[in-house]
Amino acid sequence: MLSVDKLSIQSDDICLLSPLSFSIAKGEVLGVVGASGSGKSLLAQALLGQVPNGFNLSGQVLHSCGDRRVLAAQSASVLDPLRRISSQLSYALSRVPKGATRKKRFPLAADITRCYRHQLSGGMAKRALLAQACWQASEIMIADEPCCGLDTQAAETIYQHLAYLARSENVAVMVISHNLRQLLTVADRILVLRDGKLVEITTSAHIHSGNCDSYTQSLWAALPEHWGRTNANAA
Amino acid sequence: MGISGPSGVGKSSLASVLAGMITADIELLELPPKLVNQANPVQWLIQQSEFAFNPRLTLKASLNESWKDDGYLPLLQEYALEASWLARRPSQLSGGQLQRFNLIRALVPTTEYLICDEVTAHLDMVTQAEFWQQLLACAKRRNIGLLVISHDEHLLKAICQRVINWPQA
Repeated sequence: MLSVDKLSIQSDDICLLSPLSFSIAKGEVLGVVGASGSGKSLLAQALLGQVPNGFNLSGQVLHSCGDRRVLAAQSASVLDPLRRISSQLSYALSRVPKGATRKKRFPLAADITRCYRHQLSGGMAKRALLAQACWQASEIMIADEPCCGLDTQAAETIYQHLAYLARSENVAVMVISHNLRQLLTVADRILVLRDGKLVEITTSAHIHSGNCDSYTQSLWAALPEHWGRTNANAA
Repeated sequence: MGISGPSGVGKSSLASVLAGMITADIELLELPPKLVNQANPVQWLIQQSEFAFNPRLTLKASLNESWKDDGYLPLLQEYALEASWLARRPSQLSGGQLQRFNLIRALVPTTEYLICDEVTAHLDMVTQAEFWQQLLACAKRRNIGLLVISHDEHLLKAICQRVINWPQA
């Protein structure tokens, strides 16, 4: 479906992404995790063919879906502040694949679509961005931090929609997040990045059993539920 | 103390009332008195630290808005921040570094309470763990009360003695 072969990115003499190879199959959810600055969003840009000017990309991104690669952006700043959300989603609406149902893929309340960007809360803006991507996704969809800052219930709902897109509509889905706990609920495999380097590609079962790289284990240990109880009475 | 609840129920509005940013029609609200020419004893840390700083000011100038002297210098080392970064502007730092500068700005000697409103939601897990480890140690040492607003029930369980679960409005 999508295959990455020795992909690397450099800017001046700095290597931002060391050569890495992996693939995403149809109907699969691949999670990408790593600390801030590890190259997660840069990898997404490379897969979409949108690496900024001044960055040198080498290696290959092989796929057969032309421009049918969609991104659910991380920041609401990509929404046009001068147009209602409904107007901005009309293009995505016109590209819902045959046989797919917009509401099943990602229902969006009318009180969001009639608003302008500044009238939306962070969670509402996230839903608008995800709806835009989910509706038109036909082969590959990349979601960059789709649940950052959302409450637990809202995050669960969003991950259910992403899973539906993969399992029922056979879309290859890549989810980028710094929250390993949330990724494990939906991802078939987890790609771990550190300082622009591929640490490993592992699975939920391997992480839960501790059968993974020490860096992946440190990300797992950094989740609050795994902190030592020494801090418990400080607050 | 922690507060959790769905988006839009008013958690951040409560924080802004407690921080004295807006007034509310509340019958009984007891806050530490504000001191003349000194920072508010109730400090409020917001989620997106890049919005908490004037983008045109250096970090040193921003810190001096609350600190009247350079008493923050020992805190820089404690929070793994380099003194040379004081000459930088907010856009030249990562989210985690900026949030720690934001914390230092709030930790003036007069601070009695600190409201942490989703302060680590945008940070990666390793940076989040370091941030809370440092803040909890500081709060204990200086006897500062923390009000932690978060969607992350695991975080609240790990660091709070009491948690208010705010139901859907």
